Amino acid sequence: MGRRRVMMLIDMNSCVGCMACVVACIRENIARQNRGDVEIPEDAVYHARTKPEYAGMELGLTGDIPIFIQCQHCDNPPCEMVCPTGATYIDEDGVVALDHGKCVGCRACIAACPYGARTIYRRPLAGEPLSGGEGFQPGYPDKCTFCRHRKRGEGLWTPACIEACAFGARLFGYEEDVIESSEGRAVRLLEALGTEPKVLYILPVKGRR
Amino acid sequence: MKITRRNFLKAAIASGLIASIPGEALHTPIEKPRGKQVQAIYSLQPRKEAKVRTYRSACFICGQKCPIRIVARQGQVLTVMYNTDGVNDTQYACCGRPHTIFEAHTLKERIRAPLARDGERGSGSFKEISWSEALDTLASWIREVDPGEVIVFSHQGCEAGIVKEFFKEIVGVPNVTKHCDTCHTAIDYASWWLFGKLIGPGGFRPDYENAKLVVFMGRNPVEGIVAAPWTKMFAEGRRRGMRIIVFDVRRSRLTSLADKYYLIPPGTDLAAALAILHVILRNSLYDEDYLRRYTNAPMLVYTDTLEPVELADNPRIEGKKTYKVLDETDGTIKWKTEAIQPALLGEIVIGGRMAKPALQLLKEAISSYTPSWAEEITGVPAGELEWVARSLAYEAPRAFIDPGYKGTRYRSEGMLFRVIHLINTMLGSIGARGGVAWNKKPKIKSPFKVLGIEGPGPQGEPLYKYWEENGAAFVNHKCYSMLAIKSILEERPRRYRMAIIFNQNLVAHVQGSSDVIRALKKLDYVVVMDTVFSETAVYADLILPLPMFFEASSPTLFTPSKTGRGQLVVVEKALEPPPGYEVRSAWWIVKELGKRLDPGNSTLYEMLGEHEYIWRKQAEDLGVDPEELLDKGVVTLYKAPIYHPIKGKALYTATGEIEILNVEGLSLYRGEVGKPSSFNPFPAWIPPAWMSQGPLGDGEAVVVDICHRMTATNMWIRYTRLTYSTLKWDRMDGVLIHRSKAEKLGIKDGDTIVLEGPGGTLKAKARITEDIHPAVVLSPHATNPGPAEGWITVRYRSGEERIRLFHRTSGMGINTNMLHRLNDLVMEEGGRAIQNDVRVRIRRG
Amino acid sequence: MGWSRLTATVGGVILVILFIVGIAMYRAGGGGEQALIPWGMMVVGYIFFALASGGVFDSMAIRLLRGDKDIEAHAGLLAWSSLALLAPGIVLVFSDVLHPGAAPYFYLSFNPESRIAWNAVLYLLYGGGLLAFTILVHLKGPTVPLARSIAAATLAFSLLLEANLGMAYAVNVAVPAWYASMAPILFIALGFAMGSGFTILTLRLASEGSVIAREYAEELRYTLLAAAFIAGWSLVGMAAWGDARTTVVEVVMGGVAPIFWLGFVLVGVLAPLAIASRRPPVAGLLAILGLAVYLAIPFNYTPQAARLKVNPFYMLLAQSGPVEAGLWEYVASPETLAFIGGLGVWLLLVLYRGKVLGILGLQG
Repeated sequence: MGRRRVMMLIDMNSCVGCMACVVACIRENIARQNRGDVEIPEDAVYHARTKPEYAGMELGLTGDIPIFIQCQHCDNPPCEMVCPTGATYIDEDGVVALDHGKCVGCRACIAACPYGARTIYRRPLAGEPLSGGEGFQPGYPDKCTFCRHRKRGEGLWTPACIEACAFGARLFGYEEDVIESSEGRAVRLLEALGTEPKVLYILPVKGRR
Repeated sequence: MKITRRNFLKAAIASGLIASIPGEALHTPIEKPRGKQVQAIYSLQPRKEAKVRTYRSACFICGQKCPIRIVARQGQVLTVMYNTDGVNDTQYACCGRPHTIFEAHTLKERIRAPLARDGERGSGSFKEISWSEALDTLASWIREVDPGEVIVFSHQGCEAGIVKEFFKEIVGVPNVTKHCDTCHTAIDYASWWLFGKLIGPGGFRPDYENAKLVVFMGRNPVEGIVAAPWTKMFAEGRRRGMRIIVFDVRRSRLTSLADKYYLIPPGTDLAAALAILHVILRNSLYDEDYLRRYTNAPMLVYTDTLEPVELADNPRIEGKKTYKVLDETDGTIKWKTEAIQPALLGEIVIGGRMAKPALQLLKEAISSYTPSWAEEITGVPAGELEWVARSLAYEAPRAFIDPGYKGTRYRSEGMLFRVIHLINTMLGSIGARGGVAWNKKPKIKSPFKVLGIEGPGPQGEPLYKYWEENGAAFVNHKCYSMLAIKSILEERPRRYRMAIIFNQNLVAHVQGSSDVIRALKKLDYVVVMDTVFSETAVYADLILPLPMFFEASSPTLFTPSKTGRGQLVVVEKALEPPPGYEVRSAWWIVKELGKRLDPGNSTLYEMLGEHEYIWRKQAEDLGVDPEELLDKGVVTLYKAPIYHPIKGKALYTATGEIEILNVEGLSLYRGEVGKPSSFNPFPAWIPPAWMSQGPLGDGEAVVVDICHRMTATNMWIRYTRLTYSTLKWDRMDGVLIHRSKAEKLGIKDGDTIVLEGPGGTLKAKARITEDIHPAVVLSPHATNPGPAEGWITVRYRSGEERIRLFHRTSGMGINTNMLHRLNDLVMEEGGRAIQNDVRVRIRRG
Repeated sequence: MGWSRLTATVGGVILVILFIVGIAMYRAGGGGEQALIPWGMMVVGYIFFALASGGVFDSMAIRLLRGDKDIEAHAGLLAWSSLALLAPGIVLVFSDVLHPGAAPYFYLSFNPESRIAWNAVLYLLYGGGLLAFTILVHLKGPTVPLARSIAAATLAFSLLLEANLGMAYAVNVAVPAWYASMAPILFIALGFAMGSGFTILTLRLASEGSVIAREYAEELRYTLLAAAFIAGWSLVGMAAWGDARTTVVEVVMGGVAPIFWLGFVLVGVLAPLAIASRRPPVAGLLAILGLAVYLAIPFNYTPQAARLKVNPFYMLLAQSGPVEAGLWEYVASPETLAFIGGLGVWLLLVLYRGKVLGILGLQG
C-alpha cells in the first residue's frame, strides 16, 4: 500500500448549483471540439460525469438535500466486482477506471452501481474529446475518472470540475488530507452497502447556528 | 490508508441514503477546507502541449463581467476559470455560464457576415454584403437623417460604452438608451425615496460575508444574473453561519439552501414586507440610536397638512436642511442639530396644530398592515411573519432584506423595495458591516477621452424630457428604452426614422413584443449589431456581425464592480472566430464609421486599435500599476466597501439623511397619501396588477419568467445545447405549471399548451410540477421565439443557408413580453416594465 | 394428426429470420440507451436458452447415469436438442455484449469475483462437454464408459452454469430485488422445468417415445411446483425487506401483476398440471411460455424498474434523464425478436437433425 490515494470532497453548503463543474466536465470528457463544429451528445447533462440533482425535495426520500450523481470511486466498487474481463479496475491512485480495450459491453457494471454513476450512449459521435481515450466513447459505459488523464508524472492533478468551481465547493486531494479537511463533518452516500466511497459530502447546515 | 469508521464517521448511523453524523458536528461553523497537501483549488493546471496559452478575459454573458481565464489551444477551449487577484478571493468568481463558450463559438445561429435585408422587413431574408458596403450604407444613412431622428439602443457586450459614447458625443444622437427600464428601474425609484437619488442595485452591496440573517424577496443570488461574486460572498456567508429566509414563487436551489422558505402568490412580497415593517414598528424593534443619528425619523410634521414643522439650512452641512424635533431631555422643540435626544414617537401641539415625528406617522400609516392581514394575501401564517420580523430585529444590524438586483417587475415592486429599504433602515443595517453596505465604483476614462477624440455632443432634447412632462416620473436618464418605443409608435415628441440596436434583443426584452415589432416596422432604417440572430435581427435592414466576447480584445478596461471593491479587468482575445466568419468588434466598426463621418480625426480613430496603450493610460489614470494589471488581468482597487449609514457624507436627500419620510416627496405628492399609489409618501399596499383584476379562474395564471442558472440576458446562451440540456435536466424545457392547475385543465406533462395574454399568444410545452405556487406559470426568460418563429434565410457568398432560432434546442418555454402590451408600463416609476404581472389564459394546444 | 412438418419448418424459418433481424437491429443501436434497464430481453434470451439446454441435458443425463434403459434410445436426440438450444443462447450472448471482440479477456484477464466471468468458463466447459457427449453418443452410443464419464462431468458443469447464471443476478448490491435472492437455486429448478418442457416437445417433434414423454410430463409438474415454490418464497422473503418490497408489490399487485399471474402461475403451473396427463406437448408448451414470461418480466425487468423507484440516484436519473424505462419500451425492442427468433434455430435443428448429422458425418 505504498501509494497515496486520491479523494474528493463536495461541500453542499458552498455549492450553489451553478453547473460550472458539469459544463466543464462535458467540455473535458464528453463533447468533441471538431473543426468548425462541436459535437455534444443529446442530453449532455445526463451524460455528464457529475451532475447535481435538487429534485430530492419533491421526492421525500432525500429531503431537500441535493446530491451529485457521479462515480463515488468506491474502495469496494460493486462495478469492479461484477466486471467479467477486468476492464473496470482500481488504479494505483485509487481511481476506479475503465479500460475500454477490455470492455466486452455486458453492462453488468451499470446494473451493479448503486449510485447511478454509469451511463451509456449508443449513437455515433464524431471526433475525440479533450480527454482522449479516457473520454466519453459511444457504446461503452461511461463514468467519472477524476480526470486522471490530466495527471503528469507523479503527484496530484486537478480534475476539470475542481478547476471550474469558483465557490470552493469541491476539494480534491490525497485521502488523509481530504479527510482532515473535512473535520469529521463529511458523510458518504449509501454507507450501509459497504462500498466505501472516496467522494465525501458535507451536507447543508440548516437552522440556528 | 483506508478510512475507518472510527476516524472518519464517528458513530455513523449506517442506514438510509446518507450516513448521518452527530448533531453537534452538523452545527460546527464551516471553515474553508485546509490541508497542506491538498491541491490548491485555484492553481492553473500547467499543460505541456505546444501552443497552449492562457488568456485573461471577462465574461460578458450577463452584466457582471466576471474576470475569467481561458486556456486554449489552436481554437479549442481547454479550460475556463474565474480569474482572481489571489488576495481578495471572495470577491472573484464566475458561474457555469462562461463555461459554455466552447459551444457558443460554433452556434448555428451565429451571424457570419454583414447582411442586408433581402425582401420585406421581417421576412427573415438577408444577403451577404461586404464590410465596406455595409459601413458606407450605414454612414450614408447617418448622414441622411437628423441625429434627433435616431435612437440608439444598447444593451451590453464588451463595447456598449464605446458605441453609446460614439453616437451620443460624436454623431450627436440625443437618444441613447440602455435597458434598465425592463430590469431594475423600480429599485432605482425606491432608492430615491430614502436616499434622494435614483440608485441602481449596483450601488448597494449586501454584505453576506458578515451577515447573520438575510431575507430574500425577489432576488436569487445563486441563480440570478450579475451574481457570481455575490454568490461567492453568499457561500462565504453561509460558511460563517448566515441564515436565509426566502419568499419566492418557486422552489429552487436557493430555497433548498434556505433555513426557511415560503411560496407566495406572485407580487405579494410587498404584503409580507409591510407586515414585517408593522411588527418592527409596533414592537419598537428598531435601532433608536441609528434612527436618531442617520435618519429623519424624529422630524416633526404637522398632521393636518403633512408639512414638516419647519425646515432651515443645516449649519453643519452645506446645501442640506435641518428640521424641528422634540427633544426628550427637556420636552422642548429644537432644531435637530441642537437637540440632545430627539423624540421618535409621540405628539405635540404647536400653535394649535398637532405635530408628530415622522416615525410616529409611519407607524400609524402602516398600523393596518398586520401579519394577519398579510396572511390573507400571501398565505404565510401571521405567526411566521411575526417570527421573521423578530428574527431580523434579533440579528440586527447584521440582518437585512436583500435590496435586489434584477427587478421582480410586478406593479407593486417599487413600493416593495421602498419598504425593504425602510425595514433595513429600521434595523440599522444600511451601511452596517453584515448589512447593506455601499459600493464604490471606479470611473474608467473612456478610450475617446484617453485618445482625445471629441465631438459636438448631443444635438437636441432627449425624448424622456417630453415624457417627464407627460405622465412619467423618476425616469432613469440612461434607461428609457420602452419610452423610446412608445415615442416611435406615437411619433411623440417627433417622428423617428432610424434605430441602431447594439447587442440588444428589443423584441424579446421589451414589454409588448408586438408593439416593438410595429415600432421597428415604422422606421426607415433599422440597424442591428449582434453576435447571433435574434427575434429583433429578423426586422433589421442591416446586420453587422459582432465577434463573441472571447474572440476579440477590447480597447477599454472594465470594472466588474458590483462587489464594491473596484476591480479592473483586461479583456484579451482568446480564440479566433471560426474560419470564414467576417465578424468585427464594435470598436472597429466605430473606428471605420468615425473615419467616414469625421475624416479629420482619422488618425485618432486608428488609435482605437492600440488597446494596450489605452489600457495603460486608463490604469495610470486610476493610479494602478499597468504592469501588475497586465500581468494578472485583474486588480482590486479598494480594501472594503463603504461601511457607513450615509456613506460618510451627506446623502442626496434634502436633509442629507436617510429619509424615512421623504421631504421632497411630501411636498410633491401630499395628495397621494392614503392611496395605493407609487407617489404615496407613506408605505402602502399596492396590489399587483393581476390581483386587481379579481381572483384567478381555473384556466388563468400569472405568467412569470425567471433567471435560470444557465440562461442570461445575453441572448446567445439560450441557443446552446448545454443550456437546453440543463433546462431539460431541470425539467424546465417548457413552461412549468402546477399539478393542481394542470389536472383541472386536463394538461399532461409534455403537452403543448397555448398561453393567451393581452398582447399575444404563445405555444409552449407544459412541464408539470409542484415546485411553484399554483397561481403562476413559469419558465426561464425568452425561451420562446414567439412571432419571430420560423426560418431565417441568408444568401451567403458561399451559398444559401437556412437557420431557425433555437436551431438545436427547443424554444418551447415562454417570453412574458410576447404576451404583454407596451401600454401597461408603470409611468410613475420611470416607465418601467411589469413583465411578470400579466394574467394569461391557458388551454391545451 | 399432430404438427405438420411443413408448418413447423415454415414457422422455424420465420423465427430464424426474426432472430437475425432482431440481432441486426440491436447491433445497429436499436436497444436504446441502457443505463436504467441495462439488461434487456436479449439477456433474458440467453438465460432462457442456457437453462433450457441445461434442463434437457440434466434430466437425460441423470436418467442415463441412473441406468434408466428407456432413455438410451433417446439420448442422441435429447443431447442434440440440448445443443440446439445452447446454440441460439451463445449467439445471443455474443450479440448482446456490445464489444464481442473483447471476449478473449474473459479468460486472459479473468476476474474471479465476477459471476459473468465464471459463466464464460462454465459455458465453455458445459458446451464442450455437451458437444463431446453428443458426438460420442452418435458415434458410439450412450452406454460406452467414456460417454457416461462425460455425461457426469457435463451434468456438473450444467448445474454449476445454471446456478452461476442466477448468481450473476444475486451478487449485485444495486438492485434490491436481486441482491442475495435465491436466484441460483431457482435457476436450477427453472432449468429442470424448462428441460422437461423442451424434452417433451423434442420427443414430439421427432415422433419418438410417447411413454417417456409422460414420465417427463410428470417431472414437469414437480419441477414447476418446485420453481413456483422457490419463486414464491423469494417474493415472501423480499416483501419483508424495504428496498425490495417495491418489486414484490409491483409483481403481485402492480402493473405487471396480470402478466405475472397469467404467465408463471396460470400458464406455467396450473394449466400444465391440468392437462399434463393427457397432452404432454401442450403442457410443455404452456410451461415454457409461462417460464419465459416469468424470466422476462417479473424476474428480469421488474426489479430493474423497481430500483428506479427505491434508489434515489436512479429515481433522479429516470426523472431527469432522456431514457424511458417503461415495460413497453422494454418489450417492444428488437431484442425481443431475437429472443423469440432463437426458438426457430432450435426448431429447425431438431426437425432436420438427420440431415445435419449427415452433413457432419455423424449419422450413426
